[in-house]
Amino acid sequence: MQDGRPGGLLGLSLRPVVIVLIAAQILIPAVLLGVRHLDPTKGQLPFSWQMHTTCWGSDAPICDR
Amino acid sequence: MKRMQELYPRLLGGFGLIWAVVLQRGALDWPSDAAWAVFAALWLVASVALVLGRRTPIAAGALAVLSMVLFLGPGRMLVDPLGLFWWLGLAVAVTDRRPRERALLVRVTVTTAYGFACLSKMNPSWIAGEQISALSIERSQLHPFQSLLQSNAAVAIAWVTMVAEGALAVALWFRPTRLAAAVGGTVMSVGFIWAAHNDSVWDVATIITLTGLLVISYLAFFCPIRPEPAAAPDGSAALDAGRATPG
Repeated sequence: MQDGRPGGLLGLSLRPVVIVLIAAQILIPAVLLGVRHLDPTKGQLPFSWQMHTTCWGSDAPICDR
Repeated sequence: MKRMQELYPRLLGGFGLIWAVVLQRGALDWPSDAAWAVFAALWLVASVALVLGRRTPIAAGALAVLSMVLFLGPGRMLVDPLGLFWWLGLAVAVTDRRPRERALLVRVTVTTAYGFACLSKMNPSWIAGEQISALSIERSQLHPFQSLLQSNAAVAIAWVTMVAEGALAVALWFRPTRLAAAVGGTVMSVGFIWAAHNDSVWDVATIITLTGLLVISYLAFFCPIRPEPAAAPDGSAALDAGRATPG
């Protein structure tokens, strides 16, 4: 076990790579959502319901039953 | 600790193998047969290596990179499941022998997915129940409930879904609500898969993999992210360990 030294934010001692990954996971969808909010024709809704409608009326091979 | 160190990468690899159905010839618009064959082979090798626990960091990193390659290539419409493979693959790749960091990164991925799923549903169409009503027309398994799902019940289901996803993003972090949230999230996922499936490759490509990856990632919430408090002579550490805070 190499992690788990106490200290830092909330008692966690995190390496920079972990902090960068956490920040990116939050900021990237936030930017996508923000762009979409400002202009509904651009950007995309992260983890939205839209994916379920992709095959509606589509004859794409991935939609084959 | 072994759950995040050994079991979790195997589960991730298992879903990599399930998702390989999407890589069958012709399902996506590949630039050439060679590109498809090389990609499919690399994906399978990385997934099998994860399942077997061989060279886990390299295999997980490869799965993450392959997810990004597929997103930038013929799999652009598969952004949500590929996004999860990307973040979870990276989480495993950079946390070899660091199970607490791995648990933290996986927790953040789950919270981000549920949190933004909730935020994305805050739009007039979803809140009015239009998407639920449309689904009841599109999916044959919902036809028996069509009249119900085109009433105010659709609005109620839309709100409950949105609030539940927002609640899951938070409730999994806290000990008093963790188990109930995990059970509720699992039941909700099974409901999603049943309601949204259309017996196509798309089911595996999106909702089965997406919800499945989130459910197996609940494991991270049952593993510690902070070091065990040092035992104090007066027993205060033991009291601390039982408090209802994220940990």
